[in-house]
Amino acid sequence: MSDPKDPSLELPLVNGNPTHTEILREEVGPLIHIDSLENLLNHARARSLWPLTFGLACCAIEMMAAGASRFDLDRLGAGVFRPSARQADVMILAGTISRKMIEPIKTLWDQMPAPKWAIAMGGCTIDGGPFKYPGQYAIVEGADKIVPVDVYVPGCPPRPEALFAALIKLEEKIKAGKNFKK
Amino acid sequence: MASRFDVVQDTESRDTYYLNMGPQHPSTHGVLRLKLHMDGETILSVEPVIGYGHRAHEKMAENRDYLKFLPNPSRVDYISGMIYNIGYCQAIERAMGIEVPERAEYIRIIANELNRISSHLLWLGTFLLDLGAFTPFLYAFDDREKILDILDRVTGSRLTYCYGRFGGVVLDVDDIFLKNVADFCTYFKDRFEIYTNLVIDNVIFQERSVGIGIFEQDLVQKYGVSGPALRAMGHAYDVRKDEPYGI
Amino acid sequence: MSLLAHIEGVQESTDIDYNAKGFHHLHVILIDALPQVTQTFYDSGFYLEMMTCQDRREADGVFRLVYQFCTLGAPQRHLVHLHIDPATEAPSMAHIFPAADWLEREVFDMYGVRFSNHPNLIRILMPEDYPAGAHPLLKDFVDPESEGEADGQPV
Repeated sequence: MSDPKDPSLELPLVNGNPTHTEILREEVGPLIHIDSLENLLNHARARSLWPLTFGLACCAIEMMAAGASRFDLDRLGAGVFRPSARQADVMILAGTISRKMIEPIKTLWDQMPAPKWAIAMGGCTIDGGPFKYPGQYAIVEGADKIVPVDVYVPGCPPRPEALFAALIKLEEKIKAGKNFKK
Repeated sequence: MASRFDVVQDTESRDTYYLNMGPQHPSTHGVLRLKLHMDGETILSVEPVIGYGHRAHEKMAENRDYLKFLPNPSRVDYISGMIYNIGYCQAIERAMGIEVPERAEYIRIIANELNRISSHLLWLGTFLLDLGAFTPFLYAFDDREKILDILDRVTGSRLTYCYGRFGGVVLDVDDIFLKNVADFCTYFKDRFEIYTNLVIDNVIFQERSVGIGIFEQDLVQKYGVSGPALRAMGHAYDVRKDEPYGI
Repeated sequence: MSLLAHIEGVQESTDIDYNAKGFHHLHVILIDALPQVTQTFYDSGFYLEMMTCQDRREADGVFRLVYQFCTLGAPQRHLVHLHIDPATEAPSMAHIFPAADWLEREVFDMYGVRFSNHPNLIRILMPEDYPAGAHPLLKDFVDPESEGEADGQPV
């Protein structure tokens, strides 16, 4: 979705005339130093990520602690937890993913509008974590089997500072214009 | 494609419908699915669906040694992970007749009770968050962080502890821990006044929670109510007094 | 234990050392005595604390259903053991103790034990469309949905 040639973002060429982005660059370029509209949008998106309240298990408590006053996600702009997936940018998968949960996760991921990102928080979402053993019948060993994950946070549970590091890394990733295509 | 999580019109009555309060919901705190049968905003009946947090602890316990299973009990109830961890250690000690030194018993009880306070603080914060009050959540979590600091310094974990071993605890505590605990107790007693003024005596909180969700007395026998709910029903039962463990 | 002495089908009742085991009395009963035993416990003020099952097919060739009853106050904990053949249906106790509703659903889900006259005997922990006949806590359980990482071997 950050692809500058994504047709849903820019107006199509009409009779070979330049698009609004190029007009903007031409008109406003001398006044404001922006590389492209997309770059500006990426910087804005990175600093105002709205997470989805998606606590599944133990890591959810650390996610709540990260949102509380001591660690305070709001100073990264990410303190507005949205209950509805349709208003969220980033899905922080916090906790073990059980097989029964696959369908709701897929539904929620589809409900999130692009551009969207996913953070896999905790060992369980990386590869099953402490619950990975031969014969495990109840969980999905890794969140990336269901959704494309952008940042992995190891730990059981990771400290709130680790979640901060993950969000900052995600911000760097967004500012660099990288994310999965839908 | 209609998923089974959609709002469904009741075929028998025009006025009622089925609403799914899905596994992801800010109030369900973890994953609980409620299938609600509703008439407007009134709930007629509820069918809870659980299993979204099933992680196969029992199967893992069958396939592991007692020692290898130690990380698991903490994750069963992650909010009071220390209590479950110590509880598992005590069960094995009872079965095998292992004696625990007195000092370790006292350390366990102190750590358990600190964990219990932090667990109740979390409940308080999130309960009021569901009612719409954001400030008590911040106060409660701030106090909780103080407890977590104390326990973190001794055990190394904030949330899911693996502190107990069969026959005691894994690391001894020093005088700084004891001083921290004593300071916290003094500090927290003063905080009660803040919580009373902000929450308990708050007229909005009382109007929203007093008289709501009353249990009939026969639920005790039919469902085995325990803990704070049992005390709220008027039974003076505290497992620490009626069926003491440890010291 | 005098509580169940009058019931036919109670095979043995022993007093247990509480400090060693954590409960006070153990009763081994036959399946036909279960409704009467449960009713006696209910009438005497006990509540159903826990119910589970053990897969003892290798040791004894039976499933052992374990019911745990307890009182408030100074707790008196009674355990009831009931040995059944894996294919037998056990009577449901949900009409006496509503707590047994979900506990029996869990035993059905995990072990495959069916309960007659149960109000709603469907899977509770596994997804509802999990293959029928796959009951995870059996000793010879092989996960039908495994992706081959467990080598299909029972663990």
